Amino acid sequence: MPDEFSASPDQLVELHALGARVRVDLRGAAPVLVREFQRVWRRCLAPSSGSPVPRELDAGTVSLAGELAHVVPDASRDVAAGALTRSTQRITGALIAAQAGRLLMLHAGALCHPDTGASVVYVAPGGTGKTTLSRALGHELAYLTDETVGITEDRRILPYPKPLTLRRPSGGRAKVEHAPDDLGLLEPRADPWVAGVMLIRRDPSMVGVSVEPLSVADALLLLAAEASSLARLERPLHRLADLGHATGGFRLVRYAEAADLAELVRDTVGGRR
Amino acid sequence: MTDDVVRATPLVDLLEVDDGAVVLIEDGDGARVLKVSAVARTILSLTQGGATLRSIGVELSARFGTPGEETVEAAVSALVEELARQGLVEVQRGG
Repeated sequence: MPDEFSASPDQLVELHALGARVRVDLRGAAPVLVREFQRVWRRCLAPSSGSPVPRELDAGTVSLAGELAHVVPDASRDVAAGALTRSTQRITGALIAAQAGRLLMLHAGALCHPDTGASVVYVAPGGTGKTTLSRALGHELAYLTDETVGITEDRRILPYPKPLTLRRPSGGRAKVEHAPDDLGLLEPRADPWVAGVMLIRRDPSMVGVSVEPLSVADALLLLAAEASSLARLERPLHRLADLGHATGGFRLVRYAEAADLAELVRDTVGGRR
Repeated sequence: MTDDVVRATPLVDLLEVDDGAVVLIEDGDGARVLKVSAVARTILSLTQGGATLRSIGVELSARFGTPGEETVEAAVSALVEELARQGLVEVQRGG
């Protein structure tokens, strides 16, 4: 166990996300990296501004010494950026582990109507469009996450507004963590709840958008591949199917560019609970 | 062979759908979701506490009729073999 009494306050950061609280131990990291960490994680530094999460879970402590301590103050931008990206992955892992067996967790992004909380959940494998869509439409809708959507039994979303990992505009393989604020993404003013779930498949050859209603069986087969700790839930297939029934059914959406989905997304979050 | 005892492995969950069922089974550290036909779903139900291939064949014939070109034993045997390959049943060889 880390000796938390020997750390200065800015080296022990408490993050609130996915209905859980995780302490992040930044000891050993260069001050510049600690400041950057706190900046990109600002949205998770305070508990959600909406209704308090009942019984916020304790996700324990994540020590990032292995990720950050070797990054010297004058390290290259890519080295520092890589260390922060790996830190994000560790934190995500800790939050998911804490909520296993409680939340339905989908590998998905989510945006909500800022005032009603009506949310669209877009499920997709890693690296296939969730972050791009979150960024493209997060100026008119509120950003909830681009990575893991945690859904309670009563269809509420417990947000995880993590930094967004983006490639540098200059190209190359290096990725950089961006604070949602830096990208101008909105924050929700209401508690988010699931209004619709779609599985997205980006296909650059598409013209327009194809929306295909999925049978329950097909949807479950596809969604299970993008769910975390599904087997730990009680009656997980029923929980997924119930979510589909309550939100008008799961849909498979093919598109070429994120902007093409704007109308569909607006329609989805346009309703009231 | 018809004395082989077939036993369904425990499922995490099973959801009935129009033409069968979707099942979730644990698989190492993770889980697998599979869709099974109505006949396979019936086998899973019949073998909760273990059942011989013979008794499965009798029950399936009564519910679904006899297969067209192959014997009931061969059809049931092939289906059970496939379910065993998917980890949905275990087969204990009879005498």
